[in-house]
Amino acid sequence: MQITHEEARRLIQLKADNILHPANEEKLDAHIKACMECRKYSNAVKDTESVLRQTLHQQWDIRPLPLSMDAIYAKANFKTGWSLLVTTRTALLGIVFAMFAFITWQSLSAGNASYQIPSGAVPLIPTPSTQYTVTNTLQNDCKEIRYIIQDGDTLDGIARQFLVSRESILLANQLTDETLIPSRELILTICGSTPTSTLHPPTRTITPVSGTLSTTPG
Amino acid sequence: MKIFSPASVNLTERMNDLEPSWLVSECIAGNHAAIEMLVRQYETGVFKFALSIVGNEADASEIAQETFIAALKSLKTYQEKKTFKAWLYTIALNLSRSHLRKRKIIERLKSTVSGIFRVETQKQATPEDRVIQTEKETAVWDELNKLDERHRTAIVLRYFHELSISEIAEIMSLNEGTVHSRLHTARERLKDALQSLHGE
Repeated sequence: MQITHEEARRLIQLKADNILHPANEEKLDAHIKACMECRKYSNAVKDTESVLRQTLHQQWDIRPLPLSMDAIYAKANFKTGWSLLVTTRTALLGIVFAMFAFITWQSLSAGNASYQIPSGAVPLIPTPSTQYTVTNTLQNDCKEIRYIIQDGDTLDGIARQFLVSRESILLANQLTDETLIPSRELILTICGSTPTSTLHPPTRTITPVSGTLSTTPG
Repeated sequence: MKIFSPASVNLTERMNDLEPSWLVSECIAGNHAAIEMLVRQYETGVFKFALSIVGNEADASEIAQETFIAALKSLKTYQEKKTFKAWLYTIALNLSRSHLRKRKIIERLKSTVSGIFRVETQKQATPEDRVIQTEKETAVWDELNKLDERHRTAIVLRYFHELSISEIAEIMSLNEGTVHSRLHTARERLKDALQSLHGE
């Protein structure tokens, strides 16, 4: 059975895509043998295909560098997706718990310290601008301390800092006037004083001073 | 259009050599050796596929990497209705198209900016242009670049990747008749470009 030129061209195109039915292939071959124009068309299609393949391969036949597996794993979160999420959250929870535990422990130990340490061991007194030393613990929750006079100190200032009266300072130190000599020691007797500012760190050396007990009330 | 497709008869058989389903299962199970094997098996193909669409090696490499990342993320959703290669290439095609869209937007912006500021931009010869050796190849290459992306992709899959019509249909999510029709149209244009070269 004869086919038209148009039909022949359609079959040539199907053949190019490798989807031509074998029965139609026979018809096409017979037509091409007899028809010069369709033969020319078929050759032109084949030539196009050949040049096309050659061009494309010249363009893109490049061997790429292997892809980085680490980058792929990192971005894909593959397999470790869930476990990574769980690990991250666990780590975060752990850190929060550790911080909470640390803060709790800190506050507890601070609370305990205030109960456990004898009242005489740590001077619970306002810290003046300079050194002082607890020298003795007296009766009725009284403490005797040594204070080294600093430049600029005044009797009123020291009295205010240690919550004692200026008279008691004068009396305890057998002073007749209010002139304070820097670097000299001042004995202060503090009774029932309550801290009003920063506590002094409990690292002071406690050196009892014998025979300097003062009975002066605070 | 009803198409006789001998390629589809042995398609599964052909693809099974390349796509052992155990490899996919192992990858889902999280076997890193299997994942690497899978990547190594398909990376060149995916790279060349992306390259043939976006035309730039650096971009193609990036798209190839993104393809595997996307594939590994959604490996569980892969169903064997499609061959693994076709599934992978579909991802690469979508990523490449999205890349081209972005590039088009950027180029449009650039041309707007250069228009505003009267910046003279010269078209630079790409390395690819220099590879072309013969007159015929130049004619085909130029005509190919004039084709729209849908036709060009079909041609590239057929003549560069040597895929069958059914495989191209799977990748491009089209029916086989549409694929053949696109190839037919594109081939005709390329043939005409070659013939006009010799004044035929």
